Amino acid sequence: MQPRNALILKAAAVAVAAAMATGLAACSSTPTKTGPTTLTLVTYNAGADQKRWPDLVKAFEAANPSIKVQVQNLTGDNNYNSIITSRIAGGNSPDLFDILNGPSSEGLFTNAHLLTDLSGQSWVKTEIPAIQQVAKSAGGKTYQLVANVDAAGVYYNVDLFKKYNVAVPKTWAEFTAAIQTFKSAGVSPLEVGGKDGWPFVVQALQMGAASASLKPGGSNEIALTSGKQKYSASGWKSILQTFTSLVGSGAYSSDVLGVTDATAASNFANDKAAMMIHGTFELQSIRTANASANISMFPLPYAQSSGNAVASISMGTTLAIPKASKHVAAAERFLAFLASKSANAQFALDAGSFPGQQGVVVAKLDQALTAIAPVVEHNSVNYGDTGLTPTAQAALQTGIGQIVAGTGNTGAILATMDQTQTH
Amino acid sequence: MTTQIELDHSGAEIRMPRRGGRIIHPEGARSNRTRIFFTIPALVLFTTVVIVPVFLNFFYAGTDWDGFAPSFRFVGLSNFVHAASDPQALQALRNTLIFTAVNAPIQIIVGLALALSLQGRGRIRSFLRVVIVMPIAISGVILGFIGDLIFEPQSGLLDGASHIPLFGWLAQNWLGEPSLAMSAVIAMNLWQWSGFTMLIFVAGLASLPSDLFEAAKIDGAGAWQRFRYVTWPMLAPAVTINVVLTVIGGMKVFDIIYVLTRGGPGNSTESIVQLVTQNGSLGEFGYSASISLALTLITLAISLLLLGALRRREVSA
Repeated sequence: MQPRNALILKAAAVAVAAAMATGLAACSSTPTKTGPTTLTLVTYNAGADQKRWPDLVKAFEAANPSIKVQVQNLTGDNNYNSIITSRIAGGNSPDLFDILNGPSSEGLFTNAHLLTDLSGQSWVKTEIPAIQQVAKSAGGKTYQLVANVDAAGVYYNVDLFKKYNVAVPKTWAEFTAAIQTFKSAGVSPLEVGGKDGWPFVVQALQMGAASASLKPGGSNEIALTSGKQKYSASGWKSILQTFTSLVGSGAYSSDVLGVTDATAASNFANDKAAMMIHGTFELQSIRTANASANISMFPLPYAQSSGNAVASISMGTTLAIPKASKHVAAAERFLAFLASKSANAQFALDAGSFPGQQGVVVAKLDQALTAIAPVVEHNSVNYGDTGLTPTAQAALQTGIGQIVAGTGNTGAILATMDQTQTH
Repeated sequence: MTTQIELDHSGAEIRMPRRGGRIIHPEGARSNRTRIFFTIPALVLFTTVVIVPVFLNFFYAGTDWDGFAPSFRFVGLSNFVHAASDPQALQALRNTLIFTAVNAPIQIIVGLALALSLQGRGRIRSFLRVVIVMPIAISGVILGFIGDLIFEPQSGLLDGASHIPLFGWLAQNWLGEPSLAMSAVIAMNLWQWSGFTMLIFVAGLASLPSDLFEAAKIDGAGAWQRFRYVTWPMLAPAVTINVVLTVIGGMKVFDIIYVLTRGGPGNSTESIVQLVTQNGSLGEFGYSASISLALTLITLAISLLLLGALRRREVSA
């Protein structure tokens, strides 16, 4: 090679190396802090569910001019927890994040000592009793603010119920009779986003919450989560048998396993199905599909006698502060603001759900939720504490899908759930 | 050290030093150092992002790490023992093997047919080859969403087409019926990767000597006979590459299944890689590492067996 070419090549190599070094330095350098503190809040809300944040953020920033809040929405799939932990480990921790699946995933983070202990915050004592029960299940400490609770029940099409003279079911027998009435009339009785799988789990958890043998906080729940009692010897056996009988009775449409949750919401909203067992968190998707859908909600009457309706609730937006956050104090202020009466009421309204704090009145509650509101307030049970660990819940979801597909049986599914306790 | 005399481009003599039987080119030694210098960044990145995690995976496969806690225990081979008896893992392995066993031969046949049809020059042929190859550039996730639009039971493309006379059979529960869901997944995968298989066959066909075909024509061989006795044997190297690549691709399939069916209905399409990601996110990191290691070994064994058999075929061809 000619000496001149070698010189050019060496110069180019040095230039490339210098550029790479500069780029790496830029990636790792900490930007100079100027202006207000910016809190990063990571959630997994998608679509219409994202509407719950703008009003809250605007109100908080108005009350706290030195703090800005940046909401980042990720997809709430299996990768969500991995992304959060990667960011915490990688020095890019969010200041606040919504715990996916609430209490069932919270244990993963608390066992790894990743979360800030919030037990001393003033709003802890004013949470509704069902939420305070969650803390008792977690060793008495509080690591998250549950901003709102979603009730789960049965959405029903008021017009279709009137058309076919079906009364709101108050017992399981009345519920199955209503299913048969609609099926005979050629109307899809129950709409479910079977392809996504988790809507079936919502139904199962409602049954679990209402089931006498799976009451949260009781010995059964702790025995199941600790592995001392097998799922195959618990109330979950009868729940799976109930699913089998529902499938056999034709309660679900034949293509249910090919329908996504979004499509199911749209179908129900547009009068293609009589009922949809779901949570209040689904309301925004239904209203987006049809804002004027004439719908209401009743508690799923599983294992209850007539007149003793029990509403099952789940923790809604559940915000935690990683210990690795650089703005813990500011993040705590945000949580305190969210727990204040006016902000909590507005957030619950925007989320189409119920407040997580006691004594908060939600004005202009959606018509679909007015009938179930008193039940939620006076006789509700947290369905997130029915003894399912994350792996057991995953096995349950797969198992219910197998039952609906006709490829699974109760015994094998329970055996798989039992295996999750020993491994 | 001895010297060897070589001639440069103008015919002048150059004395090249030899050491240990190798000629040492002074300019070549400097070029080698430059080449190594430029590959170091990529090598460092590759080692950090690929090699190190692979070896860490081997390590975690023998632990009960949940992916979150700072501490864990070594559990030896218990993760592997559990995987061997876990119904979900066995079902996922079964699904993955079925997917691979069905997809690979079809993809090769389709790729070969496309290559034979579109080999040679011509604008239209070139254009069609590009169109067929384009899905490779689309991510499996996007293809899964496209598949959703096609197979959606109530508003999808096939459901709409079923209203056309004679096409009523298209109104199936493609994604919700266990017996059909795998077919839908394979169909989308074929759409994405048949073009890649075709490309390899096109390259193979282009390298075949034309005098063999002329000689066969002169001897009176028809089209089928030319394919069977000339083209097919000579394409053995391309077949080897395609078979091994499609099998490896099939064993690690994930994105298109996850988006199209989420592994359902039930778990009738759940793949091994999907199970690995699911377990990892549920706090079973050590277990998922053991499953991924087992998948690696199974894929390696299958690939080596196929490679051995196909190489022997190449030699005999």
